[in-house]
Amino acid sequence: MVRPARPLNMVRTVQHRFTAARSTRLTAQLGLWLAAAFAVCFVTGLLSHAIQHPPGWFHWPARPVQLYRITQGLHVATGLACLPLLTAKVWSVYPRLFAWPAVRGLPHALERAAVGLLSAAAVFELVTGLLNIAYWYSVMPFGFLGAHYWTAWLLAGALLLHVAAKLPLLRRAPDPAAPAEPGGWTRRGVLALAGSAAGVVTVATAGQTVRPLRHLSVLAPRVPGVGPQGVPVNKTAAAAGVTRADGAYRLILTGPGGTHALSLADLTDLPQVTADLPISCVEGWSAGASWQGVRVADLLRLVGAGGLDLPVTVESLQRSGPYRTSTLEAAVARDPLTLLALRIGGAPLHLDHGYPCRLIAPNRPGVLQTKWVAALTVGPR
Amino acid sequence: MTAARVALAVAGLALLGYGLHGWLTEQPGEVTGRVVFLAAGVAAHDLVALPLVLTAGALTARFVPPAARIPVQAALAVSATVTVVALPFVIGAGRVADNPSAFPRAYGPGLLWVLAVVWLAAAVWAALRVRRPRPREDR
Repeated sequence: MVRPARPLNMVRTVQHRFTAARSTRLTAQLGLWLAAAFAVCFVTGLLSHAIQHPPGWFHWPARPVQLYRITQGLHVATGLACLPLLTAKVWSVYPRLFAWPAVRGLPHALERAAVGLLSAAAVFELVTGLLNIAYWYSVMPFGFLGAHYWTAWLLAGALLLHVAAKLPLLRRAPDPAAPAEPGGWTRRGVLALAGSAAGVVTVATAGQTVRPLRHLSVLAPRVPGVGPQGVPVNKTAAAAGVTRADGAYRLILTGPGGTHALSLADLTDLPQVTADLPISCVEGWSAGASWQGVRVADLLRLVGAGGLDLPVTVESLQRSGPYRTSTLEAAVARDPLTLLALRIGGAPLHLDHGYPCRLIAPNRPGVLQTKWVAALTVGPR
Repeated sequence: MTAARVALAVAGLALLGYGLHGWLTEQPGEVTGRVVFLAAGVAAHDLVALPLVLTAGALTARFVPPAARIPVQAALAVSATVTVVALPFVIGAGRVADNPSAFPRAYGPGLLWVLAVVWLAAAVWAALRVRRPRPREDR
C-alpha cells in the first residue's frame, strides 16, 4: 500500500477526510455532552467545597450514607471522561480556529474571546484535576485547590456566554447532510469514537470507587481492598508527624457538664457499636469498611451535651495541617452511625488509620474523618 | 430566544466576574503561575495535540489499507486518550514513599494491557471489515 508521498497531495487528502464528518450538528452534540459533563463536575465540586468550607446557611445531612461517595466518584470519573470529548469538540471546529479574517467586528471578537477562555479553562480544569489525583503538584506553579476552584467559575461563566452566542445554531434546522464519503468517518462514527474513548478511560479508572470494577481498572489511583487492613490511606502517620500513642493517651472530652479524660481502656469499656461506612475521598476514590467503636452521641452524654443543639469540634494528635481539626454539625454528631472508631474489621486500628481512635461518620469527606483523635469539644468553635 | 440569550449572557458574565475576582484576590502571588499554566495548557492542546491527531489521521489514510483505516484511526485515538490519563501515574512523580496504598498498581504494564485490548479489538474489527466490506455507512 505504500505509495510515494507527495506532501501537497497529502494535505489535500487530510482536508478532505477530516472535513467529511465535521458538521454543526456534530459540534452541537459534542457541545451538549460536554456541557452536561461540566455541569456534573461543577455541581459536585461546589458541593464538596461547601461541605469542607461551609457557609453559614449550608447544612450537610448524615444521610444518605453513600451520597458524598457517589458525588465525588462522579466528579472525578466525569472529569476524566471529558478529556476525549473536549479534544473531539475542538477537532470538530478546528479549521475555524484559523478562519480569516480572525476577527469581524466587536461582537465576533467578544465571542472568540469567550471561546478562548472556555477552551483554556476547560483544559486547565481537566489537566489540574488529573495532576491532583496523581499527586503531581510539582508541575503546578500554584496551589491546586484555589486554582481548580476559581477556574471552575471562569469555565462556567465562559460556557454560558458561549451557549448564549451559539443558541441560534442549536435551534436552527440541521444542515443538509453532505454525502458521506464511502468508508470515511461519519458524524455518528465520531460520536461513537469519543464515547468509546471516554468509556475505556472510565473502565480503566473507576474501580477506585466502583468496587466490582477494581480488577479491570488497571489504572486506578487507589484500589478498594489495598492498604493497611484492606483500606487505602491518604495521609500516613509518619507524614502527619504522629507517633504511636502509649498508655499515657487520654481522650479529652469537654462539654457543658465538665471535662473528662478517657484512657483507651475506658473507651473500650463503653458500649461498642459496629458501622459499615465508606472512607470517601474528594479525589474520587472510596472504600467501604466495617468499623467498631463508641458512638459520639454516648460520649456527648458523658459531658452533659447529649440533647444539646451544639456542634462538636474534633481535634487530632497531629500538630499542624489544614485537617488537624474538623467540626461535626450538631445533628451529625448525634447520629447513631457517627463513631469514634477503635477497630476496623475487628482488629485495632492500624496507626495509619488513626490509632488509637478516629472519627467515622456517614456521608462525610475523608479529610474530615479526623484520625488520631485527641479531643472532642462541644460548643461553637 | 433573544431574552434567553440575554439571560444566559448576563448569568455568564456574573459567574465570570465572580471567578475573576477570586482568581485575582485569593493568593494573588500565584496569578502569574496560573496564567502561564492556562495559556500553556490550551496552546499544548490546540497547537500540539490536535496537529498530532490530524497528522496521525493523515498518515493512516496514506499508509493503511482502506478497510482497516477506521479501526486503526479509532484505536490510535483511544490509545492517545488512555495514555494521557495514564501518564502521570506511569511517571509516578506523586508517589509517596511511605504510603504504598496510594498508586498501588504497576501503571506502565497496566497501560500496556489496556493498549493491547484496544488494538486487539481494532484488529478484530478490521478483520471483520475486510471480510465483509461495507460500501456506505449511514450518516
